[in-house]
Amino acid sequence: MTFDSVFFFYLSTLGYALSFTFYLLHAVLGSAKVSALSSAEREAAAGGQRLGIVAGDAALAVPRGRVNWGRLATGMTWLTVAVATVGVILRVIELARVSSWVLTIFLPATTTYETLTFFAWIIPLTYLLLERFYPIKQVGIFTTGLALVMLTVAASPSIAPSSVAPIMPSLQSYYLVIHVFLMLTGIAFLTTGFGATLLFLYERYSGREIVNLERLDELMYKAIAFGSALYGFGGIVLGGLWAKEAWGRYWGFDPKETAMLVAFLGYMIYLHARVRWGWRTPQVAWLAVGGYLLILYAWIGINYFVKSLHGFV
Amino acid sequence: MSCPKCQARGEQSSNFCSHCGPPVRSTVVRDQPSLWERLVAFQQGIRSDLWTFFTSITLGIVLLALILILSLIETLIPQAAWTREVDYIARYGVEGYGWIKRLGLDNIYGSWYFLLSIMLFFLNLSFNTYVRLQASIRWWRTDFAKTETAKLAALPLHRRLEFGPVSADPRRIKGQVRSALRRRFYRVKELPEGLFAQKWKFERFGIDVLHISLLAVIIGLALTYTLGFRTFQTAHKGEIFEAPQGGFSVKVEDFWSENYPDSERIMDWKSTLTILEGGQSVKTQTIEVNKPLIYKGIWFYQAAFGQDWQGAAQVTLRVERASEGKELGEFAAKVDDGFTIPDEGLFVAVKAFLPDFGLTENGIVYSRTQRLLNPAAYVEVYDAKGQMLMRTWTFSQTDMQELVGQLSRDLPYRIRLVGMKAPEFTGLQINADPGLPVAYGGFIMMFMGFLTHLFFKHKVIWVRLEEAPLPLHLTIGGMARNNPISFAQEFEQIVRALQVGLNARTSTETETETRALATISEGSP
Repeated sequence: MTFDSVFFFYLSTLGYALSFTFYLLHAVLGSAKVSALSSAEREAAAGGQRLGIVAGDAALAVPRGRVNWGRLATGMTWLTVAVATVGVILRVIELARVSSWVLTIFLPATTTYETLTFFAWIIPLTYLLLERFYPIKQVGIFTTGLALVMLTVAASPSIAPSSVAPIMPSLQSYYLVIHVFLMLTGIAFLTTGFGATLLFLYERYSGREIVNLERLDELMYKAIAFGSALYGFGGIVLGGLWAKEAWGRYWGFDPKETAMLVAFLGYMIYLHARVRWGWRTPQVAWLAVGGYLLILYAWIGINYFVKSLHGFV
Repeated sequence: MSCPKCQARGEQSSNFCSHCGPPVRSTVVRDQPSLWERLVAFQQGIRSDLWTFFTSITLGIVLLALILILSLIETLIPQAAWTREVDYIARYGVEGYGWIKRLGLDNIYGSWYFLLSIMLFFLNLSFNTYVRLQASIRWWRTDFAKTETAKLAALPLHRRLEFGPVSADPRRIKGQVRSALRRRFYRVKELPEGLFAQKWKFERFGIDVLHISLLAVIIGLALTYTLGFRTFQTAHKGEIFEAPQGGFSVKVEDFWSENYPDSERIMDWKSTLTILEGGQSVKTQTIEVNKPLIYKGIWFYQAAFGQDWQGAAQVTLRVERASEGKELGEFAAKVDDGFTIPDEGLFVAVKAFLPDFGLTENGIVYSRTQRLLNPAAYVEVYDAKGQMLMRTWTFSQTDMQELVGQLSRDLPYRIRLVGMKAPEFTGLQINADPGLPVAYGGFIMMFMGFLTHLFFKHKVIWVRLEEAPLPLHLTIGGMARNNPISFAQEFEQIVRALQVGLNARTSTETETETRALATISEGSP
């Protein structure tokens, strides 16, 4: 055990593996359960769910003596997120220690390892927050699965060495915390939105309505509207303010900046197309998929194409 | 509405028929319109067409997509602002670079097609902002208290609560409902037949503010790019330079870098600058990365730090006679200068130094980076009469030097680059940004717009209390401008709280209708 935070991230890897399994079991066994209910029960459940009054779990009340996988999955994820929170906080302390406390609380997202573990914390967290309002647990398979993959990749020392490095001069700013935090949180929301989009498209094309499409669309819309607002604000405004201080201009067409704008514009197209052509149109949902691909491009892809002032990200 | 002349139905603006052309008028249409009438019609037609064109959301989406694609290309092709011609040729070849230049792909944001699409987008956004703002103002002026409390039962979200004879005191019931709603931040108003409550009506303007903020940011950028400037200045210790457009000069007193304690890693770069006005020192400040000096609207940033290889390098060369391999010694000289070897009667001129030697496809020599990766010097050797004997590139890397040796076996002297040094310099970014206040104003509005739109939704609740027909009952109905699901949750919580607090029972007759969701259709873009 090199660092304490690393240990907690190992623990959360295990946790996400369990929650992923539980979400999967919930999706597989849960849908079978609905058809087992009597038609009257199903009617009542559907009514409650559509109103959003009754949580999905309570509506599809599990008969006594059977395991409620959905609830188990949510509980497990909350627990794992709590463990990962400890890991992230420890990482902040470790980072500050090697940077000799330059009067700033650092965001643990400066190396590949930190970014991956940070995402493995924030993506399930944003998903859980959304799940409270929209208990569509099929999306949980995607978010916890993704967190699991990220932590597994982070565990490989060759791809993501877990050693703590001091923060370089150009990153020593309060904006590092707030700009990067908003952008990453935005991406986390958009990731949940992407999971919902995948489910939406699956339902649209397979014709099987696992979850009420209207609710699914609202989750998708909420996650994306919230995520792109955070992403856009964190990028255009806070990134601009920081760039003004560090490079002398708030906008300079640096490739990474532009790529951020491109991804933001992509989501703006989705949001306006949703108004213009209606959410039921599958092409509109495809625009959301395109938006997420642009996010991936701006976040990771761009680093392989061009040299940018953001060379350190 | 149908056109009075051609009777065509369908999409018609208020003053123009899309089918037969002339304006839709309720007056009698003459067979032969006068020239004036035709002109008026023509002008109205154009106006209406332009209006339809610029207020179209589809146009906005198309322009967004266009800007997106152009920006995407910009991220893939390095832009002329930070790329040298040699780098383009090294990357795309002469032919490819020719095409990039012809299409303006090396300067997309300065190209006519990008500026045109941005201008169209700006117009489209302005028109749509205006249209939407009008609708928001209409919304703001609408008195929702007056809207049809009689039709409460027609609202998608409504409930009916009945009271037994014990709890049936209309005044007390009203009071309890009022305080229950106030606890949830509703502003409650008394109506003759019951209560009217609403909250967060202002949120309708969130998106408007957001759109206006975008317009402001675009205007700010345009101001900066037309009226501002941006330069890069390298300076050695003690150097004084003239600030562009400022009418004052700046002296670089000192600069240095600081490491992390017990580490090789750089913690910060710093420079101490003094502003001189008419020879008088006005202000002295130490700047560092992320902490600029601002004077008279001009910003000075610590932007770079390093060794001035291409400006003022000094090289050390080892010279030996090729025929017998006799070493003549090591000599040092600056670029654009040289040294003499008296024994041989030679003068060696150092013409150029590159820290990272590279060759383009068509044989142009350039420095790939500013780091000392593959240093090379270009030298010319003259005899006592000033006759040039040879010229060659010389390297410090062994494999490169061997290659030169093989290519130039018949040269009289072998020269090798054995040492190099350069003075340190500090790189300052200097700029003026007149669009800054406008853009920052836009930033603040953007923040407020996002906040309003994401966290608030206009919610309206009507309550009607009726005694006839008995028993005393209360009908509560509500709607939200958006967010039907979360509003349905809130509504249900309110109803449940009332039910418990007032000891009422819900009648079952209307319950099946509550399944559909409540939203208000907006009727505006």
